[in-house]
Amino acid sequence: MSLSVLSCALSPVGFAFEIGTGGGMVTYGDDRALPCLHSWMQTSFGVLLAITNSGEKNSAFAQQTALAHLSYSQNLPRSRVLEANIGVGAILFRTTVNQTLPEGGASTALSRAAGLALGLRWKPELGRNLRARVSWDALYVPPGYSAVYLAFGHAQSLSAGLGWDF
Amino acid sequence: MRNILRLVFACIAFVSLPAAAYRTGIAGGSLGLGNGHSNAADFASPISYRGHFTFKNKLDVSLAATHVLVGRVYDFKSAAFVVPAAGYLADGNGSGPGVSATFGFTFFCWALCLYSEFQQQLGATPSRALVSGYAVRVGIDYTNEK
Repeated sequence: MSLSVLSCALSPVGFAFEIGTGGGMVTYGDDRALPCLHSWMQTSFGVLLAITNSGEKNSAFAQQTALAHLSYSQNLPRSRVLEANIGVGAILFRTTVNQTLPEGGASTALSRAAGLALGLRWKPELGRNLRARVSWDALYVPPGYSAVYLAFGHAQSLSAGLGWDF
Repeated sequence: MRNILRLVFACIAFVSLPAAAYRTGIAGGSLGLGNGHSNAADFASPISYRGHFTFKNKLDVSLAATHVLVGRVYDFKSAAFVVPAAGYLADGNGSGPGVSATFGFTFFCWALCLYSEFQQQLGATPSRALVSGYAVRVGIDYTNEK
């Protein structure tokens, strides 16, 4: 109900947005594919905010990871269903090592990195306001000043989901 | 490896015939082979190079030591380009079928065009290992576009 009201309120100025979620796989350059949850919001002006969450837990450690990017997205020339985006992104790792510290408890570390976000997606229309979306996003992280050597860290996700236009 | 480079150059020379090729070139730089992170740019190593040729219908064929790809070039008015492609990939884990996306930007053209590109790949080996190499390159293109 509230979303319908919001949609009506925004439509006179030609503003629309799409919200969606889905799942897929993500890899952080360590040759492992982890399952992930992918959520996004995209405006009719092409501004895209996407977050990919993943995590893993075993007897030694637990890690939660968020890969987010804010990008400008545009249809590929002469294509109605293919889009590409460019923007900035970041990765946040929260790692808890399951070891008993002298003072008790486990040690937790938070690490982060930021870089260039590039992506490609296929988003066919399924219904009046419903769209499917297959997203392939990548984040290129320059390790300090070594960008002059073109060396980058790399993470990428491949996900599929459904989005709703408001 | 030297033979592979010769083969790449021979292929580029062959398809650079004005009647056939719309754009052709070679790019080198930094390559990530799926073993953690990329190496620094190494222009002396043939494995860092990628040769490509694009036909007038925007069909693009890309050859490198780490892939053989066929894709389609989408050119933006802003001199940016995107090339989704599919083919055969290789990295430190092995080789197998997969897809690739190349995002590039042409800096300027004066007889030849200078461009940079980010390329990501995603595929799988027959033993289901991930093939996820990537590259950051700078290149030179020749085009007969009027």
